[in-house]
Amino acid sequence: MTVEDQLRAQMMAVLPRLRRFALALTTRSVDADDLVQDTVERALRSLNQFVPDTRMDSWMFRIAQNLWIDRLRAGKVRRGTVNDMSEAEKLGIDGERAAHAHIMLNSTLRALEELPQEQREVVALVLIDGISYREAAAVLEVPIGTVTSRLARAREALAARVLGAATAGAETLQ
Amino acid sequence: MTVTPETLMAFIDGELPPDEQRRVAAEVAKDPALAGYVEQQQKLMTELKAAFAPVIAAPIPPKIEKAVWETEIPAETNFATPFLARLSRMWRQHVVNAGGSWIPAGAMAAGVVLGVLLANSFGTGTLMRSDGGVLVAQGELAQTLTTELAADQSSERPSAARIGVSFWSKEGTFCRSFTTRPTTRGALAGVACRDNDNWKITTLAAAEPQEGTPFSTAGAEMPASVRAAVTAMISGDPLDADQERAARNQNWRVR
Repeated sequence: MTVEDQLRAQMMAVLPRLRRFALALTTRSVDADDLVQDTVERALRSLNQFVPDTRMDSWMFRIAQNLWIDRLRAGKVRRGTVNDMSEAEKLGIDGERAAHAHIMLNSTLRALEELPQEQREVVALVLIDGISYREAAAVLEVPIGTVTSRLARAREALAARVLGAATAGAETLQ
Repeated sequence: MTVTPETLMAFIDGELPPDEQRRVAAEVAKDPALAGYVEQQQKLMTELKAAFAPVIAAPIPPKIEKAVWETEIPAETNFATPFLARLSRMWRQHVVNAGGSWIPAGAMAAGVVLGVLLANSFGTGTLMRSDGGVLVAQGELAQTLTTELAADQSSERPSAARIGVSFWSKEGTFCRSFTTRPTTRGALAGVACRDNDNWKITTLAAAEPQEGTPFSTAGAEMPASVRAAVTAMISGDPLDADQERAARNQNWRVR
């Protein structure tokens, strides 16, 4: 196996998480898969900037995040609301409990959609992907304090929307 | 003792050092309001993960898979990068070998030469030197290791390196992990341990580059090899902010 093929194989292994990250970021399956594809192409064309032995996942998440922000800024994303057609269906999710899964994913995507972009980013990285604050800060290229403050705000909003909880925020506990 | 909202969130995310994690767990157990909040947030995380789980299991669309295997890698791709990675692997191997009880003088010298070569190839050669067969920090890197506290690092005044963690090694010395400020060729990450008045560099590897990023905001990713070295060397938990300050104020002197 050549060095190049090893890197491509490494990239394949990152794809499921990258796809989940892209979906949480964009909240649309079509946008998510476009973003994953663009990320893959961008990554391979700028392989110069990747240091073997370092984390390919963080590197690709960062590329995806930057591409998505560029696209939002360029006004290239046309957004309606998450429509009735199941996002899950479009992602090719299938199986016995598919109907239930579709409903859960769709309602979660609606909740994420209502968050500001920057809060959605930290939710996608820390709460959904489960990486550390430090790693999330590196992906987003912001200080760790920014990650934690965005996350605190996002948590309050999501607790209300996802759990339907009348929430007592952490601040009010003191 | 109280639990601040920030600490509570870090607790929920498992971001606290083990001691602190235990302390907060005890506080949460005593306080129904805190416990309720923690439970709610854990439920939220479980629900989010569950909702997205099918995405992980779903098949990758053929056109994305095709992009992975068929996107052309530019011919001008610089294979200096893999070369540097090889260098850092050789360095690591050297460190592993030197960990034995008998250190051949030749191997040690070769390791130091490799380290200096690695530093030079990143354009950070002024930050370390070979000293009597040992790689030691010098200049701004030595300064940063001696004076900076991990908690105080400011994005306004970027130093030659960022400190990751400070800790007691099993050998009873103070050690600190660091990542150098990236040059155009990337950054180096490593571990330095206090040895008399020097900082002896015991681990060194290429860090993940941060394209076009001001070093001050994000810093470079610490390679797994450096994290593994810290794990192997550390005795107890990393120093907290107060312990780190105390150690610095005593000039990293061992008791």
